[in-house]
Amino acid sequence: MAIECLVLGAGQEVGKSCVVVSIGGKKIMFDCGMHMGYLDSRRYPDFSLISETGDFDSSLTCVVITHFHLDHVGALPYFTEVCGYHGPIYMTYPTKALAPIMLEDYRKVMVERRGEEEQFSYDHIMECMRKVIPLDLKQTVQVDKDLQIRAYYAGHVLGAAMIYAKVGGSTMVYTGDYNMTPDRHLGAAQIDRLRLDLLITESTYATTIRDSKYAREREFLKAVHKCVAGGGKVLIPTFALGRAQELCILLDDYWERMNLNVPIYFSAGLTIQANMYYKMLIGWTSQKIKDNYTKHNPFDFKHVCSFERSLINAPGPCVLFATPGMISGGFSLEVFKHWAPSEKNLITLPGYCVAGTIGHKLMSGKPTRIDLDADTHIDVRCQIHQLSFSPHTDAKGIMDLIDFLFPQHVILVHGEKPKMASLTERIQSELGIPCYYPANNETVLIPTSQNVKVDATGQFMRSCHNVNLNSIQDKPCISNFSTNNCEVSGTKIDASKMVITSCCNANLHSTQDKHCISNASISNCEVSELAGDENLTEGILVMEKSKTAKVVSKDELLQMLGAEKHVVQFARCFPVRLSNREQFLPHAANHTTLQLLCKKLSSHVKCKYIESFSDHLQLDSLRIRICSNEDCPFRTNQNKYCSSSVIYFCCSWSMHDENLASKCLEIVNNLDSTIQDSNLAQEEAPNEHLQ
Amino acid sequence: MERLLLERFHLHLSPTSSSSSSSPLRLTRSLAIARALMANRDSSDTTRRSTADALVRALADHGSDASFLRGALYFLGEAAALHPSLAPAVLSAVRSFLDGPDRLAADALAALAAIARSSSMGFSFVASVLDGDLVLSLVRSSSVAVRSRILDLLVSSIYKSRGSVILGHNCLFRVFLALTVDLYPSLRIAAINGLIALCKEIGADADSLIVRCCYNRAVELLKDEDELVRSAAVRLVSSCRELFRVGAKGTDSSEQTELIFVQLCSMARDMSKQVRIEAFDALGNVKEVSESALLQSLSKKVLGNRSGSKIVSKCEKETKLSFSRAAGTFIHGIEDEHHEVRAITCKSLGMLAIFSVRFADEALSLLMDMLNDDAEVVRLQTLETIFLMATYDHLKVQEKHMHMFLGLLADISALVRTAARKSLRLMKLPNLEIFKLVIDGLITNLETNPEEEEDIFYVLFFVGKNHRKFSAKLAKDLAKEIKPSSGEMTLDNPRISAMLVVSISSSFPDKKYTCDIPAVIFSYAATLLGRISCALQDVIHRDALLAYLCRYSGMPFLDKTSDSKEAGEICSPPNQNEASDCCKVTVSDSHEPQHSKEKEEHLSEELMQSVEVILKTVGQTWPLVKACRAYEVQRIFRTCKEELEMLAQSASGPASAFLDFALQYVQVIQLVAEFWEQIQAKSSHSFGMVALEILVEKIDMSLKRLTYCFRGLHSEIEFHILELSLFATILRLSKFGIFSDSVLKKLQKIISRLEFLSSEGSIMLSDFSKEVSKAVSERRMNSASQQINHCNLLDLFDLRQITFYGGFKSIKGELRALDNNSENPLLYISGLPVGIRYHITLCNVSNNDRLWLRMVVGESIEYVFLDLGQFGGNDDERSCTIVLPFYATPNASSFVLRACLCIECPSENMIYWKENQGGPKGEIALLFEECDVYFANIGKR
Repeated sequence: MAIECLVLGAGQEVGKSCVVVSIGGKKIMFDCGMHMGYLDSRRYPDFSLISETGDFDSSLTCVVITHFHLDHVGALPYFTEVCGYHGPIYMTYPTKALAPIMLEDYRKVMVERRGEEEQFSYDHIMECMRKVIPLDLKQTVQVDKDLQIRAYYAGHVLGAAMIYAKVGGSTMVYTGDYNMTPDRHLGAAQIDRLRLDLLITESTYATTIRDSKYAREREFLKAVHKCVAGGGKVLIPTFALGRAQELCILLDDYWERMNLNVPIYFSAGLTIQANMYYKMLIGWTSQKIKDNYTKHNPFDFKHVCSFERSLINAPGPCVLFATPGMISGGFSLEVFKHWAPSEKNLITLPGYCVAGTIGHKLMSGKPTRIDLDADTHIDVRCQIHQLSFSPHTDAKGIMDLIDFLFPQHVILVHGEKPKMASLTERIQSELGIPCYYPANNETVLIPTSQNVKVDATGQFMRSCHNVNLNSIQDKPCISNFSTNNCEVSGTKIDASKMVITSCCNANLHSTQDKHCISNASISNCEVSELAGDENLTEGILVMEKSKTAKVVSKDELLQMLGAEKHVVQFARCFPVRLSNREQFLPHAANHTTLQLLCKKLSSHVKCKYIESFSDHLQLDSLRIRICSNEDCPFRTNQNKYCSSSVIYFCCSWSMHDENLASKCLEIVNNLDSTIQDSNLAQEEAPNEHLQ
Repeated sequence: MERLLLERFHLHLSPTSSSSSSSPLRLTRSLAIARALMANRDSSDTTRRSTADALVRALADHGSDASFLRGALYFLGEAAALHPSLAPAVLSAVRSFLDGPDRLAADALAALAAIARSSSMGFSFVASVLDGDLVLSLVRSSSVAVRSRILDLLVSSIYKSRGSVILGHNCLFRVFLALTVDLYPSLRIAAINGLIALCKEIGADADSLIVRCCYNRAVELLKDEDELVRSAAVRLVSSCRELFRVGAKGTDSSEQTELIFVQLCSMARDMSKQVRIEAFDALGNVKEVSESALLQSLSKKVLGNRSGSKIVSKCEKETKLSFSRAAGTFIHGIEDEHHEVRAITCKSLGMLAIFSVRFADEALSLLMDMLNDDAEVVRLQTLETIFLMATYDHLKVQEKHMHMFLGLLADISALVRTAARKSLRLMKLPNLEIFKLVIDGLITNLETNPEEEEDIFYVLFFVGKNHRKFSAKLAKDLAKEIKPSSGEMTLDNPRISAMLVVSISSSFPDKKYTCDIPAVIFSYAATLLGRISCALQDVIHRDALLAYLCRYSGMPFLDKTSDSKEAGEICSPPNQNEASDCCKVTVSDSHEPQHSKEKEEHLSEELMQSVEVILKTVGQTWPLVKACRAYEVQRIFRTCKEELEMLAQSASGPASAFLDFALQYVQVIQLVAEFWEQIQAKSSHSFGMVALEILVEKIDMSLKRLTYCFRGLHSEIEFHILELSLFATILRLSKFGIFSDSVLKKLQKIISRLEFLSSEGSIMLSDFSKEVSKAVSERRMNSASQQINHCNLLDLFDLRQITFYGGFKSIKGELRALDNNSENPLLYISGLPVGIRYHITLCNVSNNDRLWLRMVVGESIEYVFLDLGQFGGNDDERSCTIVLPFYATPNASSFVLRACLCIECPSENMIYWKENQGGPKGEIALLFEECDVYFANIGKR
């Protein structure tokens, strides 16, 4: 099985995020954004790549939106209402609440101010939102029988989420935009340690490493304070949602602490409306706000009041938040015109401005004069401060997240190509995780490990906990597992002894040793055994026709098959010539020989438990006895020796001790070094015998 | 009742009984009865034993009934925990179930755990029934309950079992290691905790291979899916590191330390708050890590000097960690969303700053941001860290930091302000501007919080003294400013007074700079002597300070003696002292400025002296008493009492207990003296017999109060009081001449206690006591009515001089009837009980004391037992308001009830006990004077 990842937007660029992932036969669209930089068809993702016929309902399982920014949700009404997708759409509660405000605001700006052709109407937005199924954090939603999705807190903006999706054994996370450090009003991204095949992460700041946020805050406050202390006016052009609240909390706090009385104004109704939502959605804000809001809701700004146009030229210092953020028009431009000429005033600019806006012009060098159009010129004498607040995580944050989740594969989206390349390099070299950064409309195929679900019997599960200690007690050699097919009572069963790696298995066999209980110190080799990573449990995989495969414990198998126990046993009876056999007394001869052999074996074989009986020796399943039966069925080379100086050793052993047996047999053969018999060296096939 | 229950219990249990109710129900009932029998305090030991034995037998009889077995096992465990004498029998019964089915084995283990927890002996009992093989088989059990319970037992065995070991340490290590990979997270956590405990227990003796095993396992578990397992694993890594360090014994373990440091750093980026807290905590404890690693943890950018990708590797497990993993750990820590993490980060920063000056320098700029934190805990922790850095002389403040820091002097929290000043005291200020900033900050602080003047002066003085040049400069400026010619200067101005303190500090105690400072400063400062000396009392004595100020101001100073004392009086600056115990500095007790506590102790020393003088006077009056100079004696006693009362008015806490005792003591002596005088007087007509009896009772009461209402009396004092009681008893005998058995018993008791005390300590029995003892034993031998020669005995008595060692507590009570006075009586109907609301306050009463409320109306006395459980508060002081009934309301139009609090004297029981009359079994001592409650009959009003 593989995960197929088609990047429809935000591949090697920032804007119109849209990734379609096929996973286990399910197709999920993550985000459905629009590109703010284009006005032509490039504005929307190329939906035709999903389905040429336009039958999106059957080709897509669901759409998941991570947060309300237009580059993540902007194309959604178009996709649902114009292109005709009617399947389920998921987003978090705050996103569902705030997205229509954003969309409507955008639509108004586009249609009413610029006079563009309407892409979708107000009704479209409302209709689209009606189809949305809200998600809560860490709530597992079963989209259909196989597909599960779950949202995790992402920081970034109110309601932003990372989405975890799982089909069968294949799992992935799509991060959307996220922030790994908390800010004044939102917490840091938070996710469980999941086992992932694929992580699709944003990479806006793929190479930037940011300083401590306190330094940034300090700089900002210092600039603002200096300006208002000198009687100047501060213009903070900002986006209505997100940054505005963060800066406002910061300023409000500072005002409180420094006991300042300079008014702080909010220009637009949108911001005030947004503040209302923030106040309601306290559960999605940072820990600090959650802790304190019963005493004081930080979105009830003490020093903030709403702005009226007449105040623009009022004397005295003030701070004003005005939309839009990049001074591309609207109210912020109007105020800018009035305030820019005075050197006492201060304009703060957001971290990122689109080329062509006044914000961008101010950022690149310090112009003294800005030509708005042929007739309007603005003299810019005011101070300019560039904000470096950003709701995106920096390179270190991205690395930290990848390190924490440690997925099998990483795909980068939402970033600039050269930076993505260098981050990809870092991820591959430092973490050793394969990483890709496909361009728009490219598809990446991710192989996933295939998991087959098998049932397990209770007895097997118990045996996972409870290692049968006697069976593995200090073996000289642990047999390798082998596969064989056997036909039993008409049913074809592929009975393979398999090794199952299990994490629940208590690796205790060494504690069973007698010497351990007496608390002797542990030798080196035992320690390495203790520290061994893998614990083995033996079971048998049974596959019957039209039934799920099942793992059973060894004892159960026979019972299941209704068969009797069969043991494969090897036996061999062979002569060994002993030169000094005549010295022994006849009746004690056999016994003494065995004693001799025992001594020899114990010095050669690394086995602690050789049991010596009067007529045989026992090493695990290997049993060596002296055979006097002339008609022993396992006897070989019968006629070659005269009986006086030759004794026959009859050995039997079971299959799993084969290695041990061959070693021991060799020792037995060489019991008397004076024997020179080339025939003995000859390899002989062991007799197979069913008991 | 008990017997009845026991019989029924046996009936229920006996398998042959043919009761109508079904068998399982009967068994359950029998358990309930057993529980009642066992829990009742008054059940006899034999009953308990027979109950337990019967249950043990029943375990075998009803082996098939699993639900009964489980309940019974559980119950037996509890019972054995409650009554350790049952433990051996229960243990042997429970033991057999350990091999049984999982469920029962789990219950049996629960019973064992209950016994092990119960007492110090409990564990060795349990250890005696568990052997290694059994434990191992339990550990391998397939039931989670069994595994987790045996694991808990093993973990607790590490702490508890001294000598009685179930498994050897090496074997325990293996068991724990094996269980760290259990399927269940809770078991994994418990196993890790076991390993940690074991590491701590073994310490330096640990086998290095085992430690390595633990460490490797811990590193694997750092990647566990469960956050609690991860945080436990962090702790394990930390304790392994400690063992590595100890085990290395001088050999170079820096590579290892750095590896662990980097590992912990990467855990500090975990998503779980708990793990981060553990990780930062562990980071703070890492010692001897290289400076470059430390610096890397402060910078998010990978530092070049380690060539960026330096790999710390360890051959054994092929652990490869890039050095860059440590990058910016602490930055992330202080930016954390949770204030717990931020606080612990600050703490760790401080602990690591000890090792490197450069690290301290860079950490300081991070810490300065934390001074702005909105959580008070974090601000306090930051200040503590800065203080720690200052004591190790690793604090280099810059001007940009100072604004942040001085901002804290205006903090809303007094704790933070105090902590900030504490750090200021040790700071080294690089230049005059900063110095002035600091002084200004402190002055602003003084202006806004005048109540903190004492501490601010103290800090100003040290800041000035540590920067003599600057403060000398400041003094000169000040001198110009306060020229009398300006006319408007007021010394009351906080700014001026603060500047004066700084100015005089510059030449203190060195004489080098003196010449620079205008004398006028000192003469002004002298007018503030009271306030300054109050602030500096643990640096310099007031007289010495005055001498110092006068000398430099050129004023003639009268007392030459203190001038010579001055040099000796001036203590060394407290820096050194504080540097040595700086690690113990906790924020919480900086709340109260240190010296105020010292003041209290100082006061009590003064007080001790005056009390000693008074007691000496009292002791010296005895010859006068013997000489029957009543008038003089009474006058002396009266003045002594008055003086003590005066002292008691201003005392509090232990001092007041001390004075209380002294007062009582003088009272007793006075009474004894009075009595003595009466019986010595040749004609007894001046006093009637009744008056004498009252006097005797008074003496008795006072002595009882001395004996029973003070805790922690020194044995010498106890001895003295006993002798006094002996004397009082003999006095009484001599007057009334009734020599009953009870008196004899009492005498014997006192004497034996005296003898015991003298045999224990170095106090010698006085001649008086010896004679009395002889007389009493003679009297006992020949029980004939041989009289004791009182007069001789009494003559032998001599009042010893006693010295008090404070430190005892006085048991006190206060009783008030609420809403009641003579104008406003309680209404009652005669013959019916009436409820009275009392407010009772008790000091230093322990849970073992038996307290009674005695209510007396005419002849009828009613005792009410006070259940201490009803009281709120702690042992030191508890109080409650309760309504108590008074039953025997008389048939009268109004009456007055006298209520008082009594404590039962524990050792003098058997005397007054009458049947059918409730009340205390032994003698009582009054805790508070009687209070009157007024009643009016509702019908006759």
